[in-house]
Amino acid sequence: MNEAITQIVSQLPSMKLSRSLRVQTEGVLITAAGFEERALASARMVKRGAGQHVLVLRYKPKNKQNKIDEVVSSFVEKGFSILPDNIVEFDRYDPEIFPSQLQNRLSQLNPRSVIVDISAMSKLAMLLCLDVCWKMDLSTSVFYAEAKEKGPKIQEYDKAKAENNLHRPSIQVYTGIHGVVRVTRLSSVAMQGQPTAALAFMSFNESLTQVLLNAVYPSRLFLINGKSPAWSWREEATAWIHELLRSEWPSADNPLVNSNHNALPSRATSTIQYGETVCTLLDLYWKLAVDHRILLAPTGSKMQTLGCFFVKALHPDIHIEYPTPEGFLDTYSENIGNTWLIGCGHLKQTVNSLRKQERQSLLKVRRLGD
Amino acid sequence: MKPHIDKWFTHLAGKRAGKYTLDRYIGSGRLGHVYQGHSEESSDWPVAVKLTQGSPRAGWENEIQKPQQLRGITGVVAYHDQGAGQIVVGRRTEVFLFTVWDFIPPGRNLKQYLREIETCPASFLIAVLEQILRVLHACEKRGVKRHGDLHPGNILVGEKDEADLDASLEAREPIYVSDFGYGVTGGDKAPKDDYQGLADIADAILEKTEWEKGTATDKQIIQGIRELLQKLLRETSHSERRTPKEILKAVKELDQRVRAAGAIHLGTTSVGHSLSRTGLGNANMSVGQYQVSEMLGDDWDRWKSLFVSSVPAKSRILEPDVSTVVTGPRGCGKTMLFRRLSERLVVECGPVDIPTDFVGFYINANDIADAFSSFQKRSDKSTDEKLVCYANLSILSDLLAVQSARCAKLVELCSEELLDTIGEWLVEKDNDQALIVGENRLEHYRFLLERIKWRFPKEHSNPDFPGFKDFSQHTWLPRLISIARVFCPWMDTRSIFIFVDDYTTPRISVQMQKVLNRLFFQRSSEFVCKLATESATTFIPVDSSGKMLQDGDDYQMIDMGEESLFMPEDERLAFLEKIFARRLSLDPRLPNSAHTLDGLLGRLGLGKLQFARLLRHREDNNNGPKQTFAVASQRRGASRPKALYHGREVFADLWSGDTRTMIQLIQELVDTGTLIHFKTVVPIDSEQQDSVLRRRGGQWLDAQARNQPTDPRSYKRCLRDAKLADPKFELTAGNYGSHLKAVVEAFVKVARQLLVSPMYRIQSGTEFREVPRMAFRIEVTDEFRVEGLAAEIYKDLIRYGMFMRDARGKSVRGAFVPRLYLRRLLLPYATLAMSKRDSVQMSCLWFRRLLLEPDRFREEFTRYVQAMVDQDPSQQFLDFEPERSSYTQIQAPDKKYNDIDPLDFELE
Repeated sequence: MNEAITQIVSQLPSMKLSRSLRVQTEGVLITAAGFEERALASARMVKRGAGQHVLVLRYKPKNKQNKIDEVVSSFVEKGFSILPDNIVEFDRYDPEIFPSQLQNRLSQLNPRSVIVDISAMSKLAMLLCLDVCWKMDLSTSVFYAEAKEKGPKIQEYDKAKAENNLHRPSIQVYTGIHGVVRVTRLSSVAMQGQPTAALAFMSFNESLTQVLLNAVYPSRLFLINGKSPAWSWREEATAWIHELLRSEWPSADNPLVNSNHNALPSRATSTIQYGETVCTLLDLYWKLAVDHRILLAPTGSKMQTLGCFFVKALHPDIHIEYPTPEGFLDTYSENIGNTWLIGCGHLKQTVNSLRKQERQSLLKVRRLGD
Repeated sequence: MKPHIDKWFTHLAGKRAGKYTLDRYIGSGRLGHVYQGHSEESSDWPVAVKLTQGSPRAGWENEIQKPQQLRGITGVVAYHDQGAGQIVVGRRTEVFLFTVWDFIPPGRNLKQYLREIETCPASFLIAVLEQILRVLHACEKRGVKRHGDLHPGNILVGEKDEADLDASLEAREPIYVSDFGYGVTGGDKAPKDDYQGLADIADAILEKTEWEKGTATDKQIIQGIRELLQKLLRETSHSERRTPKEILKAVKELDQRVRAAGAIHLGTTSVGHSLSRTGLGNANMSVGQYQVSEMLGDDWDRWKSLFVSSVPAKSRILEPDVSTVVTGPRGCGKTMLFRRLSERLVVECGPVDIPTDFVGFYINANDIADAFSSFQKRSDKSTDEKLVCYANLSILSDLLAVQSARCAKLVELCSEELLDTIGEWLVEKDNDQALIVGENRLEHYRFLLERIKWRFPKEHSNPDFPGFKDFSQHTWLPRLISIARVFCPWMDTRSIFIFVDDYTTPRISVQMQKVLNRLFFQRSSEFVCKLATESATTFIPVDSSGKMLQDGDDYQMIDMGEESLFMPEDERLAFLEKIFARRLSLDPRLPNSAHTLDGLLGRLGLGKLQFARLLRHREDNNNGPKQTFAVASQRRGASRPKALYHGREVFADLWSGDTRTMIQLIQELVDTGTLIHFKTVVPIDSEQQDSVLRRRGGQWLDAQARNQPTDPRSYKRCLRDAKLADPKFELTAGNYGSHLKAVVEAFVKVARQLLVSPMYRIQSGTEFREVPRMAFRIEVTDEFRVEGLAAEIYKDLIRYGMFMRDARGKSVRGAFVPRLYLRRLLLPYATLAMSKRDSVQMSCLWFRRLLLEPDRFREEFTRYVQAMVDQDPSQQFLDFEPERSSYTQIQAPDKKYNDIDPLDFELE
């Protein structure tokens, strides 16, 4: 890995395990009323409020399992304010107007700081929330509650593998794919004649990647696997699920750790420590951006998506496309695991500082220390 | 660190230094303060007066001597005078030494300039570096050891003087080197290393150079310059150092090479090259590399070695007076053809081996769509204008890329009139970034154009630039071409083709296509458009005025899959031989004898009919239990050879235009052959070939289970309607992709059933022959009416290439009925014959059932066919319609479908 990139990554906001959550006076918490139990994590952990505002993302299309009422009542019970205007609709299939609505509401509230609870948030919503906070230069923290258990179970994977049936719904944990969604705010302009390199994360549903490829016809495909600290078998499982798809692309772009046919893909990042994702993405960016347009699909974990946010913020020429799942099965996740807080400071300043360091390290003739 | 500015020195306007009056304060450095002034002898001659406080430091005269030695060198600020003086203001008196220099209006150095601008192109970086290196070269030649104090504050950026034209008759902002250092080696003050100073200047510019929104050329130049300077400027050993002239030459060469070659092979140590497509480092490659042209990027050598010009329907696609819509399965070579025939590649790789009396510009429709993420929902006049403008800009962008490549590669001069015109279109009047001396004007405009494109995605902003009004009209395109013809002699009177690639829904939405169709399908004597779309169903033949575009009138639809289907067998084979001869010869694993399909695969040695007869006896593992039809009578003894799919004829028969898949097949065949034998033994074993061909088909079909509906909204609406009509209705296998796969499997089952059923008899001369029913084609025998969910499924079966549509079709009661072919790749997997002679006929009712309920169709139609066969074991009539029609009687097939060699009948 490029030493300069490692140095930049060391400057990223650090992750801290957090057992409680406090919203500052004149602070705002943004959360999403998803269907998982961890949608309630921030409401449970947050210290009693004194009228601070909570903005709740309500998903469209409506899903009866979404915990909108529970989320709202939990926060209200704890002394937070959720006015009707604080419920912001997020259309998962067409989120074009969402960022401006969020920005308008945040401008009205004029918060001193914002906590973005990404635990039950769609990855695209998460990118857009952070993008708004970045453009508004808000002092921003990211709160993330892991799931204690996640589907599918290892037994289901073993069974599916034994039957060579990677399309089993229990393995996919999704009910289907809606299509590829893009938003003006996260789009970029293609330079004339530039070939596209697609960067996507492996998940339990390789259809996400396939539907992306069917839509954008990239010249090259770079897959990033996920390493889950809690469930190491998942790395092998997602690699297996993507094996067929991977075999359709040049192996040099998706190397294995060794030449063994069953070896794991060597490009893998932690599903929690987002710095690894930033590191890998920046490395790919600087290797590819000279003669490719980079298309990034945040199909990995939430924290891998946080890594995507920082890399996109650093490089507006990266184009984001999101293959959107249609829905999720009950088996997607259960209970609440570790909870993390990442204090990002004023996002614009943080990103600018990272950008400055990156340009100095990677675009200068004289290196730092010369 | 910023020098502390003594405010007293900033208020000396009107004071005198010798015979010079100080008019205004300009700035301060570490050792002095600079003013614009004038001489009492000539008040209209502005000068720069530099005051150095107190007694001059040792060696100060060097600062004067150096420019005196460089007198007459362009880009060196000329020295005029010096003296000593004192100024009294208030109660403070200062004595000073003053020196007098040319004043370079507006009195702005590079540091200030960079602070004022938002960003600059790579052409600016190159121009400044070149100018400084020229001055350093002059230093070396005139005996000035070094500048000694190079930094951005000592580089002056003058203002444009309309009176001063350069060689291109353009007034530009000049670059000057000033303030030569007074330090000398061994003196009190050590001189600053010029190369370190140059690196500082490069870094200051690099900090402002546009990276993210820069053109690909700009990015390549930035990376290249950075690496070049790191290598050349950081050399500390003086004996190893390159001279300024050598560095200047290297910079110029790099600039030239990037523009000429697209620059992925700069020969530098760029981190990017570890992922370079030419990682093998020599001409070798595996036969399976570069399966689609997108993977070739700008690797011009590979383009040269891999492109085969004899693609199906080439001459029809390239007809000069009619727009063309080209469809075909993925990987059939649409993009490769369009890109290779575009002028950019003709310049880069040389002409193709077919007469090309046209100039082609290539744009990718996806690039247009990406700038309009929310277009499909919000189309109004203003958005439509922006879309048309963006498309026109994209065409202009390719035109300028061609011009740039011609300038670099063919050492051609770009016409000044073209540049003036482009400048009028793109450069805003209040643009604060004029061209500087030596800056490449064409590259500067290309940079501006790409920056303008970045204004479009911002929904509410108006991407205003001087040419917007013209560019946003669809009628502007012919005008643009006619203007370009005048200024680009290489276009002359040649036909102009606009190649538009990936023009496919849903990416290029219906509404977007309607707007763009008005631009691309307008009738013009200046150009015609050649569009590539994934399938006939992904092109919307309507324009924004509501006009229906007629196939045959407004455009000509050419399906490369269909063309490949009806290509004569020898042509098919010759085309594939050409494609693979190039690839096979580059794969080091293969002996020379395997550089042809014949050498690699050998021959089947059987006719299609013979092979079909053998197939009837083959166990079919992919279609459930073996059929129980009585075929024993066909046996000719225990030694009957096995029906193995192998040989070059079989390979060629599997081609449905999907060249990419054929490359994958060969790759797998070679890989398998190599794995087993370590070195490929050729011809590859026929059992192995059979196994690979069958497996690959199965894998391909499995992969189709990942497919999603092209239009999710329409699909959901239709699915809802289907469930309303039949509450029990479910997709087969639970998801859309698996349902599509099930449709194929159901058809395969029926086709196989017909193959193994008793043969039908035909008269051949005076004799009657038994012929197995060799069908992988569906023929609907009555009115073709497919709507709702069935239509969505039908469109996607075509779009994903599971079936190929034969648009020649046939007419049933005056209406057009398309024929559908199973993708040929699936024939070995399905254990079906290779001949296209026969068909599976069914009514549209059955066909809809196949689309909607494939499992039910499979069971019922199989039973239905069985009953027919039981009733008439000759298969002479397969009466699948309630009313018997003569159509279903076996007849000699249409010539174009009859691919059985008459000799084949004799070999029974």
